[in-house]
Amino acid sequence: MRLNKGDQQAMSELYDRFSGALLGVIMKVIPDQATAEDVLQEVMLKIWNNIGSFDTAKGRLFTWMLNIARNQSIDKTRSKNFKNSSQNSSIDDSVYLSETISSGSGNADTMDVQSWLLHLPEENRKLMHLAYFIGFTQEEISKELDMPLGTVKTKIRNSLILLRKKLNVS
Amino acid sequence: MDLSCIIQSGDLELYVMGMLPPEEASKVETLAQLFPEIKQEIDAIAQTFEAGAMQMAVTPSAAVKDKLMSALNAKTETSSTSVPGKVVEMKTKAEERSSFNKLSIAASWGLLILLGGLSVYLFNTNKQLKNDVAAMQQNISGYENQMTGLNKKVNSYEMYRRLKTDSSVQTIMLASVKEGVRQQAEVFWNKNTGELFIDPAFLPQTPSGKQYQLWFIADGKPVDAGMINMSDSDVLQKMKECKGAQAFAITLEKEGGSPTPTMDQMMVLGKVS
Repeated sequence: MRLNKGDQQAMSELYDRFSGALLGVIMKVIPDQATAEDVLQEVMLKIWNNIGSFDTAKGRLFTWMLNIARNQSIDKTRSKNFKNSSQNSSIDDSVYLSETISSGSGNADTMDVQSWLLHLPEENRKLMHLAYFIGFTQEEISKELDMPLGTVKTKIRNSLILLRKKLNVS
Repeated sequence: MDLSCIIQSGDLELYVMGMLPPEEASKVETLAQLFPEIKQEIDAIAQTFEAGAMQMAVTPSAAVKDKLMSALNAKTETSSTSVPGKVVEMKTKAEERSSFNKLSIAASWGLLILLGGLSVYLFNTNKQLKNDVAAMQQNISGYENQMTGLNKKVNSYEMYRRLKTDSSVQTIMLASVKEGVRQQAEVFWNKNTGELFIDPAFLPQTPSGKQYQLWFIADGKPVDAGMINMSDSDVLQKMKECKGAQAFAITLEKEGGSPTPTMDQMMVLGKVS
């Protein structure tokens, strides 16, 4: 793979292809676009630095990058710095309950951030949001939504089955 | 190996979402490498999130890419200035190779141990399940036996009540013919229909190879009225049809009965009043 050699051109192509999706994911966690773009920068650098440890046999490149983006964003919201200085309410209910992400930036793109989780019934949507975008553990979700641990797992699986259908994944 | 239970467990979804603890995640990775079906399922789950991410893509400001590319540029430059001499580089490569070899050997051992562990675990689980099922089946057949026993008793009590309240049925007590031996039986006989029942509850158990036989005396001659089943001694037993009986007697005979009673083996006797 070209990227293994640290090829800047490959990185540029990768950026063009995936940065939008990565930023979308980051903005589900950190709705403020300026902060989210800072995180995107960090994410891309991380991808650059760690591409050598990515194993194609083990997983998919895009998923690997998505997970870096998610983890970086979640870590950011949990950092002391972010909590103290941030005026945005990233872990606000409104993120997963509202139809679109409210954004003060006025960027036309943000209007398109229709959550694909909207395909799900409300309870499952909330659960998937906590799991995927907030990074809650099964135990934390179980406590937060007041449901048994086994149910959390079942609902995650059922949600994925439904989403696969809705997003036309075979 | 049944893969559907792994696929349906929900663990693969948790794996893709990064919610599994590391040791379970590496188990899933091993399974995915062994079984294409599992790899396929994981891919489909991952693709779902990828499709979702594509659907909510937000184009970043142009400045982000510029900043990134110049940062990468700076990085590449600093790393190229620190590239060591050729000799050192080769050594590093050799070291890398040997550490890679070590790593792959360690990994294969790990896989082997994991597989061994997995099969032992599956074997034990399977054994345990088999035992559980066997125990449950035993329990069930135990309950079934109890049920049939109880049903028999209930039927017997109902029969007893019916016979006791039927005015055309006579109850004849058969008492011990030997002095000092506590044994007795009760016979219920309908003179009109010939229906005959015995309650053998108070007869002693028979020695092995022997069986009680019921007789009735008609016109001074003993007539066979059937064998008594002592393994069912707590219920009323229907005997052969009986007409014109003047007395009833029970003898101890060889298993299956005798054509004529062995008189010195007579246990109990009762006259029809």
